[in-house]
Amino acid sequence: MVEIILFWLFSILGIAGAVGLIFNRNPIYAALSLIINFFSIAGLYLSLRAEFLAVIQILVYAGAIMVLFLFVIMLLNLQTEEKAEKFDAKRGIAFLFGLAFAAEMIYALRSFASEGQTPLAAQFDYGQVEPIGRSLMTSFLFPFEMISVVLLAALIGAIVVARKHTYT
Amino acid sequence: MAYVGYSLILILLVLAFLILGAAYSVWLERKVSARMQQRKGPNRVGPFGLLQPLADVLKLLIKEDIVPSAADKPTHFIAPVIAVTVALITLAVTPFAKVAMPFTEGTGGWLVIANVNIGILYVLAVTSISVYGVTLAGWSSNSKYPLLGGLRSSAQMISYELAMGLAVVSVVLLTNARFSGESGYLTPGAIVEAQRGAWNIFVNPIGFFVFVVCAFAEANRAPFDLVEAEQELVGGFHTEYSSMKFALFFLAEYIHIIVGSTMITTLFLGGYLGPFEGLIGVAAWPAWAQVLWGLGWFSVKTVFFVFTFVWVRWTLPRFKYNQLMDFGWKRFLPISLANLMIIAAGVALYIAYFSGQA
Amino acid sequence: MNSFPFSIAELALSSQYVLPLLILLGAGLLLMLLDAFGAAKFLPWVAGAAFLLSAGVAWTQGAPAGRLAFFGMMETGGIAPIVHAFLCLSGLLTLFFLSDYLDRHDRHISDVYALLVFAVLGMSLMANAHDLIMTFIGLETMSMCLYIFAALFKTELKSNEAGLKYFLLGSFASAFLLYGIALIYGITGTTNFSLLASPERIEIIQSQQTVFYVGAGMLLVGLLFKVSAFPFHFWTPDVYEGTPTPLAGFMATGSKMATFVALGTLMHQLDMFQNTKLLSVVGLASLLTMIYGNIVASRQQNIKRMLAYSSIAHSGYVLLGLCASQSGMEAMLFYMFIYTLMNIGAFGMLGMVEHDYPDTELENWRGMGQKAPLFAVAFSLFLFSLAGIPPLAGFMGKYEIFIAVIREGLLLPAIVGILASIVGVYYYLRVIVVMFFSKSGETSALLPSASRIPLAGAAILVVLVLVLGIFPSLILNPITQALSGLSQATAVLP
Repeated sequence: MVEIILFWLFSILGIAGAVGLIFNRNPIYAALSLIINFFSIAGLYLSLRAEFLAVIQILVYAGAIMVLFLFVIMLLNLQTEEKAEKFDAKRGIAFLFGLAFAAEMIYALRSFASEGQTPLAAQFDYGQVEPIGRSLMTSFLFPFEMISVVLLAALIGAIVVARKHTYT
Repeated sequence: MAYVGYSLILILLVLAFLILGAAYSVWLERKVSARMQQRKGPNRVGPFGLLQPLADVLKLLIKEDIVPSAADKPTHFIAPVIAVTVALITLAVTPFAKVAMPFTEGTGGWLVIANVNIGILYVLAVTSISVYGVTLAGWSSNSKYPLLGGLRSSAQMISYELAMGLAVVSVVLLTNARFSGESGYLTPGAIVEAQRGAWNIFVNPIGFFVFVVCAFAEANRAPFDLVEAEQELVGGFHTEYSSMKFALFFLAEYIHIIVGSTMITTLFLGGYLGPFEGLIGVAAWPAWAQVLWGLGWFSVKTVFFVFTFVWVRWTLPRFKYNQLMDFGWKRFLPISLANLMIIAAGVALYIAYFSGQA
Repeated sequence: MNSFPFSIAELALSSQYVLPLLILLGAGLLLMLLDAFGAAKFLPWVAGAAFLLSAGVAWTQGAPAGRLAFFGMMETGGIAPIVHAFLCLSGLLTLFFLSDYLDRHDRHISDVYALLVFAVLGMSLMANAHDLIMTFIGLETMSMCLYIFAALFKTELKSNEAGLKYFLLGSFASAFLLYGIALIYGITGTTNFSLLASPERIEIIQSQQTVFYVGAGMLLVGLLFKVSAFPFHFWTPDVYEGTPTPLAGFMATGSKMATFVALGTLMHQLDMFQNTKLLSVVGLASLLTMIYGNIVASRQQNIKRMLAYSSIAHSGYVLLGLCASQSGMEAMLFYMFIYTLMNIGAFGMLGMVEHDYPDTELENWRGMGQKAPLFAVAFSLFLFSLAGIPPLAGFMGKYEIFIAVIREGLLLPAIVGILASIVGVYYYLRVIVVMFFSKSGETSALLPSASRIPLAGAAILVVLVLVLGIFPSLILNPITQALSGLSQATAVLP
């Protein structure tokens, strides 16, 4: 019972956060909405008994990435978008596509639920420290190492793009 | 359900002690700094000025609350709330003693609010979000000095979090070496238990040093108090705050000091463990004595570190901003990484040695 | 106490299997260090040597399919070594033109070599992945480097546009891919290809058709974006135009080859994709891509944009090949190899003269045939090959594809493809006409003022395009051999 209440609480909060992210004209409020969303997702992880994932979600996303987002927004001193964007044909089409996509997802996931089967992934204690640590050191060793290449490439890229002209 | 009841009582006690402790940390700070500067410090209200904190609170409470007209009101209101809340919830996983009593049955024998199996990560996560209070306060004031303070704070927190996290990882490794094979070695309780015999400060002195420095930085205390550097930024992030909201920030700062001290105690100084416990045979004492013994040592160590926080503030000059960044990224991060590798190698050798014997 | 479920020997064996990848990884790190210690002028040579070494090691490592490394994460047998070698080759060929191009534009961005090596590493990871997670990581490694390539000349507006556009849209596509993977994982509980192909998972998939289709569809969206197939092509011309020309050539070849191989592996190795609905989606995308790419390319006034649209069209041909089964895979690899040669050649030569004939506008190339005859002839050769005119290699590539498709009984799509490629001939010839049959009045050197290295690269490519047009079996045979063991090999997890 408690779990169901918590599920709905976190789900609604999470969706509210996501909607707030999109519709807030003030960039800081948008960022804060996203943080709310992250916390709700962490809450959902907790209710799946994935404590490690939940904490990492907060530590990494809310605690590091969003702090940087806020930092940049504040540094650039972004102001509230003054004029409302016009609702033209392009936006209309985009809106329709988004709606269609949402409908598709809901339909697909509902079909999933209606067959009364829990997802396989949820049957394992995947979200805890030990299973995650173990699989990072065994079956996912190689991807784990290779992710560092992605990060390295991104790092170089950020420097290449941001650096002043020092072409020798 | 009994467990929840005990936890609730403990939560109330901890909150009361934290808030009272924060108030008396202010008194301690004023007394110690006065001593250092050959003054007397507060001595009018009550004996030794002991009632001074209460007078201060009363004064702050009845002052007028001014919100700048250009401020972003909701954020301006919520920022101090975030600051205090986040500071308060860290202690949820800190063990205060270990003893077999009815009220510690639900928590694995530890006197702790919640014995979560990712406890230490919880502490790191809470620390990492504590920056929002300061940052949002700086932004919402809509004034340039607070904004600068808020910016500095977010950059500083992120820079020192890394070294701090790595220092914690080295402690977790040591814990794992003691309890190899058992799960639950991320709980602060297990970390303390692993220090029976040798406190981590002796096994892992570099990690201790890094962690202490980072704890200072995370608490925005001197010599890392650029966030509120009054010579440059007037009051920093709380320039535009007054009355109770200002008091909340003040409270948060001192709670951070206390919490930081408890973390240092737990991770490196054996938490509630006293010296020579095996020799004096503490385990055979009655339960209430064990609780008192544990709580006593825990408090002594914590108070010592609160004193250290004060001591350092009135001894060391403040860093410049570039020094702060250089220190975090070019000194502490490499030191912390190297320390982690040394500890990891040591742990690997230790395990290999003992598994060879077994 | 040794609680690890794998032994050091197992780890060593896996590392040996992925040695070509590790060589690239080490080379990338070495390049960064060399750059930091002021040895920037050796970087292209070191990168080239790394590509050669890695490709050589891979080529000698041939093994039947199903030789998995690192707990079934990477496929290192079957076509994997050959694909890796091809990808290294595309990097190597790009190097021929790259440093000269950067010198001419006075932008000595030495980080680009390390990124090039990492990009090839990512492509190889993606193409030879045996797990959807690995596919995604490879794709991200590759894309991250390509985003930077697009934004490399950061003071130029076009490059900024290219970088931003590619980054935003690319991230969006990656998100789709990841969502697709998540859904497939959600129903099956695994991302490993071997496990996904196992009977019990297939049963699960069949009972969860709807979610599977949505997941697989999103997976397709992510991959089709990377090969600029029809509904997801719109970024291509702008991005290629803003990217430094030799790197645009690399983008159009290496990344597409990797994505096609990944797509092909998914479609042919996993029974779940052997399913007419998904195949027909790919087939439809391929037809539209061919038609759209060729028709729009014929309206371009800018050679670089024209080549970009032509690369869209070529993606269409290859996708069509993918719809055919085993022989399609073979034709696809062969085609992508040939395409790598001629496209890097075309983009590279375009880059050689870009500084002297700015903006790559077709108008500025008037009379190139008189100004720089040898250059014009070589460039025409690449264009003829792209158009698929015998006896050049491009013809053999197209021939293989269409034969494979017709053998599968897909006669109508093949006819559409052939008709589309006839439209293609028009715009390639248009460039040649402008170069040779319109007067400019002045005559100058036989070749544009380029240094020896890019000229040597162009010469090698010309020879290869000619030779492979006449002796395609030089490349076709190894591919056939590598593929022959693929279908019957049932991969087992170590």
